[in-house]
Amino acid sequence: MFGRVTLWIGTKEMGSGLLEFAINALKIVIVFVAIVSTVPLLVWVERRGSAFMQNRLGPNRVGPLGLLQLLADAIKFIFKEEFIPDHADKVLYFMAPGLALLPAALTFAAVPFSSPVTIMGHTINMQIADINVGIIYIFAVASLAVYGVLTAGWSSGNKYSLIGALRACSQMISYEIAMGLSLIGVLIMYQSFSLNDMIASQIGGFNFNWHGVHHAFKYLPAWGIFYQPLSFILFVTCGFAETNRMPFDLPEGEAELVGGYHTEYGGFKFNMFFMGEYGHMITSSALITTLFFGGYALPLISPEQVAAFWIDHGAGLAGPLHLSIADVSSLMTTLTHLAVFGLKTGFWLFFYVWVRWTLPRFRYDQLMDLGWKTLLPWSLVNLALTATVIFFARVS
Amino acid sequence: MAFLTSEDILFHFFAAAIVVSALLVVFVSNPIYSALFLALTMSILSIFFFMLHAPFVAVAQLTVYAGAVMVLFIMVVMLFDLKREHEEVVKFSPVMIAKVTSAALLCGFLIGVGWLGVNATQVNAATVLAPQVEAKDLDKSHGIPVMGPVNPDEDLTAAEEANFVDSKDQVKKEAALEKVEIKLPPDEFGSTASLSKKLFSKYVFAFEAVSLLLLVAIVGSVALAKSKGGTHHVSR
Amino acid sequence: MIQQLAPILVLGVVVIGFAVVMLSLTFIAGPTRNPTPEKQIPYECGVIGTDMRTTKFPVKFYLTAILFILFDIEVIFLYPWAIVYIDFLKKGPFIFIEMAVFMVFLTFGLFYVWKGHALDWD
Repeated sequence: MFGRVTLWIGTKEMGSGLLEFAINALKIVIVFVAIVSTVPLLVWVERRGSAFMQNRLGPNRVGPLGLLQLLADAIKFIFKEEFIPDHADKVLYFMAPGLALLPAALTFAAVPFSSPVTIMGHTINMQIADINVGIIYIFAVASLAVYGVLTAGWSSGNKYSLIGALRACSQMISYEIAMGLSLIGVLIMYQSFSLNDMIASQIGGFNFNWHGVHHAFKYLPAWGIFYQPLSFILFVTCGFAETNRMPFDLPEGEAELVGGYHTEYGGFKFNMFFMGEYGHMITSSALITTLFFGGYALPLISPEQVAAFWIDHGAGLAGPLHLSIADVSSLMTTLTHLAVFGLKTGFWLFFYVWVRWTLPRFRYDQLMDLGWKTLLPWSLVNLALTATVIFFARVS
Repeated sequence: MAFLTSEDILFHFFAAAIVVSALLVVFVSNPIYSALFLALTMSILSIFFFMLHAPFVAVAQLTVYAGAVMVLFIMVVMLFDLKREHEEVVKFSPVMIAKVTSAALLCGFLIGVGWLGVNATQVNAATVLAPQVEAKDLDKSHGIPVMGPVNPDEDLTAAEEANFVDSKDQVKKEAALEKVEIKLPPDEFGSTASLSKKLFSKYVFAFEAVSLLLLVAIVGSVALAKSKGGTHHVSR
Repeated sequence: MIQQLAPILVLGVVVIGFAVVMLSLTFIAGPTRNPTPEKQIPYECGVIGTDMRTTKFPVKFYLTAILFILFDIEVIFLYPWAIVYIDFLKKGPFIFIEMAVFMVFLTFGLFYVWKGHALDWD
């Protein structure tokens, strides 16, 4: 039946050929490893940062400044004894940490962390998957994070785990609505779901059309936060609630339910829950920078200008690396943007840690009230305000 | 010549996966596993929507079905702590009659659909392929029209090349270059913007009707919970 | 369209592979399993737990989930509207009016839920 079987592997997303497929697969593995290694770094930031905020020293014995502490912890986790509680559902007990980790990794796939690099004719997108419905894909996969929590709580065979899991689940789903609604104002401004389009819209100076007259403020970057400040506040708050971080971490609150849905987990499975949580935090911070702070682009300086800069100043590197000037410029532009992205996301990650150790925890009913009775109405107000202003002033 | 694209491989893999998953929903006895397999089925369905150039529907399916409805199902199963199904003694009862009747109806339905489907494809294939197949090929192929050369190691003769009609017509032209450029639909096909264009012009009444339906559902669910004493106002 | 999804599937495979590898590492490298009764009973801050799973759970979890479904569908309808809003305004005010009607109904729904004490004390 198959006269000649040609295996054709994808077009521009995965590369039309085995070499490009391999390059893209390697990129995926590298990004995943980078995320997995950022998690210990983040935990280190948390432990040292919280220590300094609480006027004590954090881990500072293992390695320089205590940086290898987390590696030691991870290795320790591997050597712990595997135990399964009596009433646990064995299959689900093992699957739950994986179910928690999977959405956390998949959400990061749509985030562009740098501009595309062109080397030797191959263009590599600095984004795992350039989906044209980017932001709503991220929300859809993030809503699957509930399964990890529910399965963990149920399969532990402990009724307090189950209560913790149900409360965590209710909290997460309540804040998903507010998060989606707060985004609508932003989407109206960007007119696209694709995160690359959003970053492209945020290049240059702040400008808008008011009744047909074009106004521009040259020295203010065209960042999302200046167009939708209320949306920003709502989104950050919902981001905290979605990732079960303080001050919303009652479902896993240490003083209340011991560990909530992960009470009965030890060893590496416990670690995987935390990798999932920090993965969600990383994606959340990356989303905040992409939606409201210009993503990987520098403020007021477009990627073309950066590329031109590197063409002028990058000649010294072309020789040793045996690449053309254009390639070197592209590479250095990508690295510059990666650094910018890292700085912005890193700031928001630090902000997460900062808030955790500053604010006290909310009570559960206060938490649910905040989600349904405060954030949801304010998101609606934001949406109505944005739509009405645009309607009456024909802003664009 | 047929080309096996990665899309075909993925489609068949996910088709098998979704069928297995859906069957497991029915055949496992633990209700939590059943609900989780249903959630998996919904998630794989979203991948199918993606493959059909409907990315927005895919995301909506994932968000609403896999992310909301199935979560509700699983929460209900956990809250009410449903036990495994017990083996039922096969006894003659109204329930038994109902089960047998519905199973028989399902079988009849599937057979009917399959019969119609097979007849339809046979008709199409015969009308499309018959003019292009020459008499000598019919002899070799025992009267069954085939697409392309009967002997797969042979290439098409010039006459067959000219008459070769395939669903991907450009394939025969570019096959000589060993490079297959599968033409995709234009970007606007299935994009959310074109969905919106239709939704807010032609189907606007359906859209408003949906909002009314949601309102009815909201009021109904609150009323239902109140009647069972769910809201604190009543249960205090 | 599957081309956009293919890298995500590869990532999914990588993540699952990572999880499996890590869990099997634990199996191989951990000490031999020694399930004593003290380790196996459900954890309850050190005391012996009472009878499991006979507690009646509040219905408000269920109500929250149902309301979540309905408002989630509303948000799903808002997404395609948002990205074409500025574009369609050029053709006339209908796009604004349509969504205003939609939102009025659903805001009324939210109002009813709020006043109907379905959101209390969750």
